[in-house]
Amino acid sequence: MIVAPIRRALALATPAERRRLRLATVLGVVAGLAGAALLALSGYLIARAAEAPPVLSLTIAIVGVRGFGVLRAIARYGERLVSHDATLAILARLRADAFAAVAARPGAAGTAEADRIVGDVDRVQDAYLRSIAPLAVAAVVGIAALVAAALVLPVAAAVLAGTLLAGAVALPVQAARWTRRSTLRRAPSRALLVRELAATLDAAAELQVAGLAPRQIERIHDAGAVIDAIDRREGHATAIVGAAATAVGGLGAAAVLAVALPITVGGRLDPALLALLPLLVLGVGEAIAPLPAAARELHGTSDAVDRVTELLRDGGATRSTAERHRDVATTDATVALRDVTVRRGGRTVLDRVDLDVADGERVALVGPSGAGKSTVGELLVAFLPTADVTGDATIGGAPLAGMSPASLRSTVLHVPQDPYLFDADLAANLRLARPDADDATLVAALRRVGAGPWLDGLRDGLATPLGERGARLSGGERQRVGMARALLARGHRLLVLDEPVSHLPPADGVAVIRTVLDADPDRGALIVAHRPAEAALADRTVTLGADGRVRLPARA
Amino acid sequence: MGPPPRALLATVPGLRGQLRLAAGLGVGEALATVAQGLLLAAAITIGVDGADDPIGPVLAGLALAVLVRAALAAVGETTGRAAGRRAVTELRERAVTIALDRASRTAGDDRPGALAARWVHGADAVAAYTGRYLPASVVAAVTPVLVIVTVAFVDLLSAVLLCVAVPIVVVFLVLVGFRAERAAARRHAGLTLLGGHLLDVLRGLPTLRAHRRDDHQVGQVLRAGEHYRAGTMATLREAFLSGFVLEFMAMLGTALVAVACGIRLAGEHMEFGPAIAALVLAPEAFLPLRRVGAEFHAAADATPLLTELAEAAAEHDPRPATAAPAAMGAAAPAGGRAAAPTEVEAVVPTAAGAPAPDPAVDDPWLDHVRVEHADRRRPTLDETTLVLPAGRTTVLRGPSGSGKSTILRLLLGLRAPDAGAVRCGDVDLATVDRGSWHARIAWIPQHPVLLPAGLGDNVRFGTDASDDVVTDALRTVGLGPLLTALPDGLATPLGDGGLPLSTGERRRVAIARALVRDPRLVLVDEPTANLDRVTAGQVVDALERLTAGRTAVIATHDDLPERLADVTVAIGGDR
Repeated sequence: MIVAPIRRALALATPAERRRLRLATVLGVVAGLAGAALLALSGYLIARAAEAPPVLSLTIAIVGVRGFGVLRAIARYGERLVSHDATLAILARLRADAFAAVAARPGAAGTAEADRIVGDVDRVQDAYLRSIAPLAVAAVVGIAALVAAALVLPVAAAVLAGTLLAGAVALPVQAARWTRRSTLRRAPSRALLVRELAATLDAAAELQVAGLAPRQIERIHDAGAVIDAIDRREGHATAIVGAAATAVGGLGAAAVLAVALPITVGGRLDPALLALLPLLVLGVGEAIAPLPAAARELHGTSDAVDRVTELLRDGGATRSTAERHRDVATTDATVALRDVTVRRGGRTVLDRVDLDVADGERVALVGPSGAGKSTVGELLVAFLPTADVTGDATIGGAPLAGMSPASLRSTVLHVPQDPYLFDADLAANLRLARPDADDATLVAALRRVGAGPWLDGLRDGLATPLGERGARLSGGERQRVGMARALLARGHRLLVLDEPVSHLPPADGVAVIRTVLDADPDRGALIVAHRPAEAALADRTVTLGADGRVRLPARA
Repeated sequence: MGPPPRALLATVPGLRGQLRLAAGLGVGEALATVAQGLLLAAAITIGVDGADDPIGPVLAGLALAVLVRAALAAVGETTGRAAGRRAVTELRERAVTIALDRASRTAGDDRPGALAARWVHGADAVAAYTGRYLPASVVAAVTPVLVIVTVAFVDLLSAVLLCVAVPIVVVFLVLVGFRAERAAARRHAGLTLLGGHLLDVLRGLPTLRAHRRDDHQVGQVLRAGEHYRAGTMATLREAFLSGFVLEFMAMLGTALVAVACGIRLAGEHMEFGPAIAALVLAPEAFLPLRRVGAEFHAAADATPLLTELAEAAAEHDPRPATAAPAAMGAAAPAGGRAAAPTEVEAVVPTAAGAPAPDPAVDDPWLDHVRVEHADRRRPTLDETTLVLPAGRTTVLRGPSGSGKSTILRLLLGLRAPDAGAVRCGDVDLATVDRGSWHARIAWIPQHPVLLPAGLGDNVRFGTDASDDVVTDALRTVGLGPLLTALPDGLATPLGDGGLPLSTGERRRVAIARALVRDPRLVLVDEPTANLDRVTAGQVVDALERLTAGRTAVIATHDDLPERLADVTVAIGGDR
């Protein structure tokens, strides 16, 4: 129950990272050994001195006491430095790997899931810093102390073994057992709290106006109370186990004295060694004191470790599947859907749809809201999990399911209704469509989609920060930025425009779509629209019914 | 050196007593430790000197001291943890209250995600600061003195040596504290950026994918993490170095005592008993100081959070302290638990207590209003006077960014005008109790919130409407068929991970929400954006039922809602 979680946590590190962790652990062990030796040796020194030998014969012991003291301080310093450095390096890599894993699978992470992934990755560091290292140090120091005690007095070693059994094995096991259930409940409780907080803060103004703010605070209070109860239970267990660990160390020292004293009095043990023994036990007690907390951390982090491991494994699997299909990229963007059905969250959002778009053709997709128009667009850029899709869907004659999302997306560009804007400046948000574009190109693109007056009104121009999720922009401004990205993007054979101008005045919207279409006359387009004037920009119109089925595909 | 606990103690009721108890128990534990050391030394002395003293009572006393020390430690830690939990709960709810208020006033300019992350993940640091650092700092102030006094009774020279060594360690402790604090402040900023960054790119993944920037972004995330590591290690290195010096000095102090005793023993100027006692006790004079040093990181981690919270609280409640409920005292406004909702309502600031005018009777209007936007050169509204006649529906027409939404925010009191006034009849809304004004309004924003709750509760939205009323409202807005198709009906969960709703459905849920509220003033932002003509028509039908006979303002760039208009106003046509 201790080895398996450690192994899983270490498996998340690369061999090079594991070497650094090992170095940190060695330094920790040195510090722990030096600490125990320091205590024991100073007891020995005093007792030997009491025999009033020549001062010179004490010198070795004095140097030893000082040496172990210095060694302990230096080793502790090194251990903290190396372990934090190694852990932060692992953390940085895991964040990138986690992002890569999410990126490799279809569908994005929801807010709650994104929060959880960020939290899980952060939690993993506790496995290295607070759990594995103290466990290793305690194990080595305990064994070394046992050997030392056995050399001095075998009976004392037996007593120390009993102390270790109680303090280093029984107590941590008990601590983990007491808190296992609550530790398991902690992660979901915390996620619930984050969800409530996020929903509350995202819609703060709306909740305030509806008079719901007090009620939301109450919900947050309730979610917090659950975590509180878990903390209280864990706190009690930790306090009791911690106190028991202290008691075990002290009682162990007393017990060692109890067995060793008669032997010393009987003249069969050097009195100086008698002074060494109880202090050695106290030193070992210090090294094993963090064990219960370490055992608990190991269990507390094991869920996060498992989830991150699973995430990375799934990401790897998706990636390798994708790589197997890499070579089917296409320059022919002929779309053919045959009998395609999409089910999401238990609802059929697209029902046995047939749809053809010839290479370079422009087709408008219309229909009532909820008919699945957006779903068709998402299907064409592999935003849907393949398990949700049935039927035959091909592009350029190749089945969509067999194409790598990356090559599919170099053929098809998706412009969503509500483009995501990153918490960065305007230039960075545009440049993701064309990384090598200079400022003049970005400004020109913005002007072509009618964002010129808005841009001119910005004090910082392209350097204007857009706020979290582009919160500082109006819906229309966000959509113009999205269309500017479409203008900047290159190399695509088909555009999927998913109501990209719904927040703009109708005449503006038509002009912006026309600009983007005219930028490359050979590029095909699937225009999801609800305004007839926008649909009229296409060669023909296809109507999706409210039941998610295609009504007679009318030729224009 | 950690933030002064005064503000914290004033903010969290009952914390002071709990912390005193925890500190008292800590000192008691130190006393028991001193007793344990003396008894241990006595037992060893008996063995080494080969004295005939009975060993039994000494060992029994030793065992007793060990048990008392353990018991005091357990109770002390439990008390400290309880204090930490109390502080965290209290501060979290205050933080949310303040954030709710601030976000509603400066909507669009804040970072709610980063805010939530800071205040959830910062909880551990605050708990450690309150429950461990504060009691430990009291113990550290008392215990070394107690130990030195005890040592003085045993061996005066050792006590003198400790008197020299302990203050030096304290000086280093202060240095450690300053360094740790600076490290934490930088790390705090870094962590916020980093957590926000990963969250941002995870949420915006579809956009990154559409432009095939997802692979590139992996490198970006890695670089951000490496950058953070480099910065953190630079500051941690300083803090660890100070910690090393602290431990080194403590060790040197103990060694000093040991060597002084050893030399006197060897010269037969000293008995064994006092020597071993001084040796066993000496580390105990440094231990509490080292413990505080170890908790400095927790304290320093909590500092930026507590400072931020204190600043937010000050900005949040500019009223003089005397206006705050007397029970809270000091600079803190009321911070009641949600279990007592009346107290919580007292936290939400209301400009003043004036009862709200009735917009169904008196015309709401903008009186020479100017609104400026930090990012923009020209004011969004300038010298604007606009009357919204009571009992009529006014449609505001204009392109996006022209100030339609700003007018709605002004009417909601979520934005104060930079000049001029927003009035209802003769009353300046700035003087009106905000809660009672909001109680008269139904606001349908462009992206209405879906709470992580059932469909029914999302329509009810705080009112106590019956299921029948909720069902009727859903039918009125054209969601009857959807409701019928759901096996769990009104109990179907919405929000993140729940039933996915289209934009149109979502907006219709919000209109149903407004119907259930039976408001005196209806404010609607872009009701038909993103809806096909058929559904948009249904929405406008539903809106017609909502706005009939009520004072209503509809901001739109679309023709469809025009037919509801009694009055149409064009806003900022030049942009």
